[in-house]
Amino acid sequence: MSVENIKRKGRINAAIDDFKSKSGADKRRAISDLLFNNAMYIIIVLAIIYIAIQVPAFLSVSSIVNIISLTAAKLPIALGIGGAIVLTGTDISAGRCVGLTACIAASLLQMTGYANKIFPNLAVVPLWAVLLAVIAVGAVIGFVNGFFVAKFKLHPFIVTLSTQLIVFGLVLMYLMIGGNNGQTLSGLDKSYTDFVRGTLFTIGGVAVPKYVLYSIILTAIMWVIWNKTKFGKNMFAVGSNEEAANVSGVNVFWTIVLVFVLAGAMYGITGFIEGARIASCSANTGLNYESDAIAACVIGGVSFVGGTGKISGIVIGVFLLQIIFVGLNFLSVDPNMLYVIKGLIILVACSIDMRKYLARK
Amino acid sequence: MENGKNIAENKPRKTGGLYAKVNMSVKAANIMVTVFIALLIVATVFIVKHNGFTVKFETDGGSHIDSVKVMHSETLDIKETPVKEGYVFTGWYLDRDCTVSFDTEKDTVTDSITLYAGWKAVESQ
Repeated sequence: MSVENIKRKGRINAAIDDFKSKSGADKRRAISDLLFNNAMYIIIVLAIIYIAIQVPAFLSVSSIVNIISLTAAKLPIALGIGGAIVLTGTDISAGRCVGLTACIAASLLQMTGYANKIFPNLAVVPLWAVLLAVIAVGAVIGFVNGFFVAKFKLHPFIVTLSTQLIVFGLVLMYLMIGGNNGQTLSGLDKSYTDFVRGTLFTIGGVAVPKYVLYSIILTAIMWVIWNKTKFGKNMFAVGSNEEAANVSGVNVFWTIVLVFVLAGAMYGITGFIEGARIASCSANTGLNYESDAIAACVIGGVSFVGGTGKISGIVIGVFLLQIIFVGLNFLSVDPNMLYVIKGLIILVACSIDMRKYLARK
Repeated sequence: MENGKNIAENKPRKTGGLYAKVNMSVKAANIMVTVFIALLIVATVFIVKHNGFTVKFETDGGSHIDSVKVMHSETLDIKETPVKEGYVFTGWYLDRDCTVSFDTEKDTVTDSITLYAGWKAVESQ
């Protein structure tokens, strides 16, 4: 064997070794990326398996219909917040906004002759008028949020924190109207509860409520807005790089305002559905709804990096979160304790979101 | 942003959004994620071990009844009924106005709840 051959062999060996070690590291990296980026899904799937073994009733038809109904109820608010997260912002006024619109809808649709009516002389208002009214109220709050964010470049966290408190004050004042004295609003008109909670169809003797259908329609509308309209494309452009979007002729101001107005309209619709769904509205209605919605969006891949997110991801996020909450309820977990778990889920989901960004950088 | 010319020429690049100023290695991020996941799992296991819904009783001036811990889809097993002078106990209700009654022998518990005692004034003889 010539010296040159040995040298060559050594070099090849070195190259192979190098390649091997490199591919090994890459392989390891690929595996760790896969594990870390999907850690939330892995935990949720393991939790579902554990709960299903512990409590077989978790997988019964009534339980699954319950999970789907809860998903449908929480979906519109998440679809609204999703837009704010695509803009790298957030909206923490969402829950209180749902509370206000739910109270308005309930107060306008109490049955005639109910003893504790907030507006005793009011006849039952047509449903469409109430729906439009609560959408308008939500949109106005959204406009205020969007205007301050877009015009003064204030961080959405600060703006929506202040609107959250203002809206809560409005709810408390609204519930003091007439002789109501801050009491829970109930005794809703049958047309309203039937429109929202009425049976869409039954599976295995379990009724699926109508608001599941409304939620599907809203999801379809939001999908079209996000994917097929100029506004949707502008939203993603502003979210990924505001300056670049501005340079390429996108009206950044109106895009931001419209994202928040659309979100507000979604909260209005959520409030309308929620009013009849829980059938007794108080100042506590809607409390902390935004935290579930934000967690669901981040789990579903709507990233705080901005300009990233899919409607399908939000649906999956809301669905997975509701599965966990219903499962923990089957395990007899006290709702007070559930807040601790919810908080940690947000922490984990957001840290994974950040890790994904760092790994890609 | 040192080569702004390139950015202008290329497609709009993501600025990093909320994480734009985060300066952390992937390794450190891995540790952070692992710690949070461990926290979540430890907290969840602890909470599930200490499970049980609390059912509280409000007797509106009647005799006190201690709250009880109940598991999911169990019925309330309380034999004790509250007493109040001048009134007869009419049963437990889910709301303060006593419109939605709760049958402690048949109705199952699926959440932490407060039950309100229903009272009927005794007619004076």
